[in-house]
Amino acid sequence: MTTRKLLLDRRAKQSVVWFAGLFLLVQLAGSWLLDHPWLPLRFRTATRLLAHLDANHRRPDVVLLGSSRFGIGLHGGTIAEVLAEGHSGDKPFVFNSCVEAGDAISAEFMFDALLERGVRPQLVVMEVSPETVNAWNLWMNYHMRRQMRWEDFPPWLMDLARAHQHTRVLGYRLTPLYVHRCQLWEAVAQRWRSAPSFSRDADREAQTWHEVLDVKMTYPRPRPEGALLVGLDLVRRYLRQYRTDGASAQALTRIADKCRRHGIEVLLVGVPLTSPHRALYRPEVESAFLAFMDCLTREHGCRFVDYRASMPDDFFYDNHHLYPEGCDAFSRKLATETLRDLWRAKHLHAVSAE
Amino acid sequence: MNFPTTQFLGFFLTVFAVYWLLPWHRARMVWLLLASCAFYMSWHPWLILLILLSASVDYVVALLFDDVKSLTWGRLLLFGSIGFNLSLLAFFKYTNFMLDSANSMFALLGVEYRSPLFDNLLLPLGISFYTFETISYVVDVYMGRFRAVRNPIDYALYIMFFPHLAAGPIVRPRDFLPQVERRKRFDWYRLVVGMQIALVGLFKKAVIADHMPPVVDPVFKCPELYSSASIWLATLAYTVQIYCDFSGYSDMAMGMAHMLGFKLPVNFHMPYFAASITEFWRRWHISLSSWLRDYLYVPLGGNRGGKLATYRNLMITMLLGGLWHGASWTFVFWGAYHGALLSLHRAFGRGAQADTAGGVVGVSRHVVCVLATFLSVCIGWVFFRAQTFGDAGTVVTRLVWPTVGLNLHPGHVLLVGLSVLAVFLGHLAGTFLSWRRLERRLPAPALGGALAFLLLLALLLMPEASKGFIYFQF
Repeated sequence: MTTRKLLLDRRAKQSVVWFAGLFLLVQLAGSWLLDHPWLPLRFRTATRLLAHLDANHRRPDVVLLGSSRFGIGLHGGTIAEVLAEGHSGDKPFVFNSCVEAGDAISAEFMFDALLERGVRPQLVVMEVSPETVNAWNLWMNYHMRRQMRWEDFPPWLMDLARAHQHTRVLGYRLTPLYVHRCQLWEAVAQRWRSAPSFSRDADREAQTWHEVLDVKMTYPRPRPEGALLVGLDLVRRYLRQYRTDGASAQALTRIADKCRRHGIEVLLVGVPLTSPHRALYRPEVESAFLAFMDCLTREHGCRFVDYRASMPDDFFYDNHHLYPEGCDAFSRKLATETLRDLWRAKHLHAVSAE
Repeated sequence: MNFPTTQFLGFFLTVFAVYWLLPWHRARMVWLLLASCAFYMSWHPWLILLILLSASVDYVVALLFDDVKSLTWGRLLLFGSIGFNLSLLAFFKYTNFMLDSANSMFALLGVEYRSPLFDNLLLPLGISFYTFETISYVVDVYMGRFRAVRNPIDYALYIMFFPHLAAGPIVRPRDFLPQVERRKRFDWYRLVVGMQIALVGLFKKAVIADHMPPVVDPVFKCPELYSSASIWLATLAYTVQIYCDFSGYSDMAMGMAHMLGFKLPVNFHMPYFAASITEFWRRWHISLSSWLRDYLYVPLGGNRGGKLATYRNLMITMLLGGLWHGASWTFVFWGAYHGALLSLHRAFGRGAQADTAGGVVGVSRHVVCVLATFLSVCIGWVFFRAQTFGDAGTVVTRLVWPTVGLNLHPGHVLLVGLSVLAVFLGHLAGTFLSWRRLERRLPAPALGGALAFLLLLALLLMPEASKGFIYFQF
């Protein structure tokens, strides 16, 4: 090999090292930024909900945590009306902080964000179902994209592997500027747009979850044939193996623990589901789930109410999301049967303590 | 598995690492073949049987040429093999086109008969490309330009080498097969050159071409709604899109092949700076145009039979070239349009071009020629892109006749402007700068930094959903 060729080869080798080093360095810097100061860019729903809350002068009295099933299926305004019935004073502010593809992991993220803002509600209503506390986590890919930081990597590792996200997680962690490029550009574009105008507090509190998120909901009417079976395959696949010792179950335990420390009452609500969906819960899944709920309620002083079979299938537009009339019925039912008493007891206790 | 995806990146890095870690040359070739099969099967697992069938027939036929002494049997084998390959291509690509055309014909004649179309007929990925490769192999062996390969793995790799499998460049056996036999040595410089070529390709595809569909698609879908200015911009946008999409793919294929120690032919050479339509076809999809020249135009008689025969041969070659691109009459028209332009240039343009003047006059004349060629090519792309003749007619009418209508969003206008500028600057740099010479002067940190910057820019500017390559449908 000639000296010139050797020199070219050495320089090429150094160029590759520089290329890889610089690329990785920029990506790691990007990942730090996107894990910390720019995290709100990654989690659009959370950012929008928290901005909505920040623009409100009142702090929430009741906080709803969960997924789109609670987001669409519970209306804070309706619950507040029921809680205020026959009760003097202000209508309570019920804040729906549910996020799409949510479970206890995303709920903990939202709850921590609320605590950081100094929010100390009197009551937290938390959605639960067997799949949301399963170690085979349906929503791991969403968590990875929206809220995962380097420090979450070790505790989530097993769940990521179980959800077959081990290769994707590398891409997400090592090329974050590519993964979140659209959010970054959107943030740049938003700088050019004017700030959104806000309505009065009372109007804002009555908004539905999707109105807050600025999502136009189109409900399929009449419900298409087989709509109740949509998505069941995925749930069935994840429920094939069931255990309640994953990251989501741990997050739920931590939420309960944090609430107890802050003197917040926690109500765990089994979310309404259609009969085909409930039929997927084999006896061993059901018993493991109920055992976990039992353990949680005993050790952390929270309550569990099971509303999974509370709504007829006609109220659903797919296997687990309610139509607006279903939302209204469920919000009233939950508020009347369970929340009103809890709220009154808690509220009276707070007033007397003051 | 599309090239600019993380899935493909993972695939390529694995193939690359294992390939260079294997100590034996034959094992590397087997590994590449397996990887190519996996790549093809990721599109459709069963269609690999088709490509294997086509390749096996040609492999056996080429070996038989050695044993066949009779000219008649040799020809029979050759035409049998070509016929077999073209029949497969015709069946998968043109069956519905032919049935549909027959239906239209029946309707025109007032006959009430409609032959049913095949609803689920899949177009095997890369069939147009590998069919031409197998044909060139059999013809070259028959003509004695190349000896038949004995090793089926070498031959299969020639057809299936994954960087060029889906959309070319169309590789000739004499260019590729000797490379398969040659032992490879890992070369850092070659790796860096391959990375440069592949990154430029990625930038063209992901940053320029993939941003054009939101401008082009709505205008070509309903051209009657848009103003002349919008139509001009959309036509320019498509001109940029098709160049960046296809040359971007070719660059990525070349770059990846380079990293694996193979050299694929250059497929594009600043085509929009061509000063004549003949020159355009020497710069655009070079592997196809040279294939058509060597295996169709020349066997038809080329320019040996006088002017009229030459024009006829040009028209036949370009008509079939148009049809090769897609099973639609608009593609046939596009081919005929280019055939007519080539014939016209042959008839009138060559004398004018020979009359070269130096200085400002010469440069001005050259610029005018480049602009005229560019304009002709742009008009040709209208027929290439439009779904129907009606749409193409509307677009051409509005290009010529100023018409009011919807205007494009200012953001889209800016996007098209920037993309045209990027392609223009790229052509200028490619024409007047020798990047290889320039790059050799750069210190390692600057070169590594430039490559990292190019990759970061491409990753940051990539649209949310990556579009498939236009030429994958051919």
